[in-house]
Amino acid sequence: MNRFTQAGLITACQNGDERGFEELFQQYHERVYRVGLRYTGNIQEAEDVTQDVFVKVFKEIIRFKGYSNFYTWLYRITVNICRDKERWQSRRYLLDKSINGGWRSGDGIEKETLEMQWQTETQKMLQNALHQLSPKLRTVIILKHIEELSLVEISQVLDCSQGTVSSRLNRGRARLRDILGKMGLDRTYLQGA
Amino acid sequence: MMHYRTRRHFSAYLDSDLDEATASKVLDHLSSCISCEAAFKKISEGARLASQFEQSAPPDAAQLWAKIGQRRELEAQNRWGRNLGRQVAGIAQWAGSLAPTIRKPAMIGAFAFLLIANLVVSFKILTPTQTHLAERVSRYDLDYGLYLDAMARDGDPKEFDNLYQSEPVEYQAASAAISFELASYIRLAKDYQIFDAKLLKTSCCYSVQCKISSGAGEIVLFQQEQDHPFSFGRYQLERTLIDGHWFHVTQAGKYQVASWVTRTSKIVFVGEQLFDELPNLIRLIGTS
Repeated sequence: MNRFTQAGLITACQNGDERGFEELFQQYHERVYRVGLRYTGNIQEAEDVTQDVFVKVFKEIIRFKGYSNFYTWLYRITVNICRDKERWQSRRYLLDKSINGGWRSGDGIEKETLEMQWQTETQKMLQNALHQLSPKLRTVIILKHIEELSLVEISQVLDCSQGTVSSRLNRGRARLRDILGKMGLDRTYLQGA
Repeated sequence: MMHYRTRRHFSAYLDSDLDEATASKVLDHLSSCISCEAAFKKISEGARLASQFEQSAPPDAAQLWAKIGQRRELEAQNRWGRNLGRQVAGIAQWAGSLAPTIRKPAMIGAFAFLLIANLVVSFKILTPTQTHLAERVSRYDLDYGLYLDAMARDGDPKEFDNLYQSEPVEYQAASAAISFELASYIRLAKDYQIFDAKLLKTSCCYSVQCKISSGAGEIVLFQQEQDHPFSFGRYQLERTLIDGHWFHVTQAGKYQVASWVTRTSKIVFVGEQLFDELPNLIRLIGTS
């Protein structure tokens, strides 16, 4: 049961109330985890992202002025941390692949993606396709189709115009269609359309 | 309406995020433009496919919350110990607001308190418990060298040695590399050969060789004589310009080593025929 109102919860956290922090975590950790999981495609990475996000949120919440919704601020932090993590991972992966050759199996990111315990083959294909999108396109697809944010909310999270979000969403959806079309998934889900 | 303007609105149109007038313009254009209609069809199919994403299983909240608690505790301790300058500035500012007669004794008292508090906190930080160590290991899985280096500098040598001996060889390798004064910290990922490094100032552990191992093999980075555990500069790095970038390079046994400072880190490369590959590596990193 919630002990705080939304505004009261933020204020409590800003005052260093531990119960407030816990409540905040309970309310929002699934959203953060979901984004992390879809963005990285890896359970361990998603947990790391969630930890990083909340450690940062608790540290920075004193600076949250309430000009935007709390969750858009939270999503922004999440997206930034996901991007930072991926940047580091991809650099490490590329270096590893180029220099070490056979030292590692060489299928790094893709392999980790496929290791996800998605329930069905369809979900595995969708996740794989999502992971093939560029970080910008992937972010908008996740925020739109998994977090179900509106264009306005996504533009607040990403700090860009609605036009830009709309344009990225177009490209993301079209690219997803292409990738899934190559995988044959389109025939299953677009029949009779 | 122009093609590009219409297309920009496709997603908003699909999601019913457009006002009536714009939606009507989009609809009009779609009915009269074959290419835009095809593009719209593709985007709408993509949207329909994307709507098939299912919700993932939630994480173990209790476990996550516990880990976050440990991280916060650790960061709070470290912050306390590291923010001496800010604390001093805070006291000075506070003292400035006091009446002149009590300013001096108040400042002396506050500084004395600050000194004692920092000593206590630092003592706590520098005397890690096994739990503390385990947390750091988990935290710095990819920064294990940093952890080892911090332990080498600040921790109990006996505890450090016990920990060191019980670790997998790749972790031992990280600390061994430190012992060769190659780096003040090494970002060594488990199962990876590549690591970032900075120049080392101090060291307390030693080893006769530095092995970086992975599941598929191992590499001996530097051979070292037992009787010269700290012979700094055995492999003197030379500064050289490659493809417009400064590298520090050396031949270490049969391996060639090059270090490169990027905006965010110092990267050390190791390979048998490395020097010929450096221009390619620069381009590779540039695109990653």
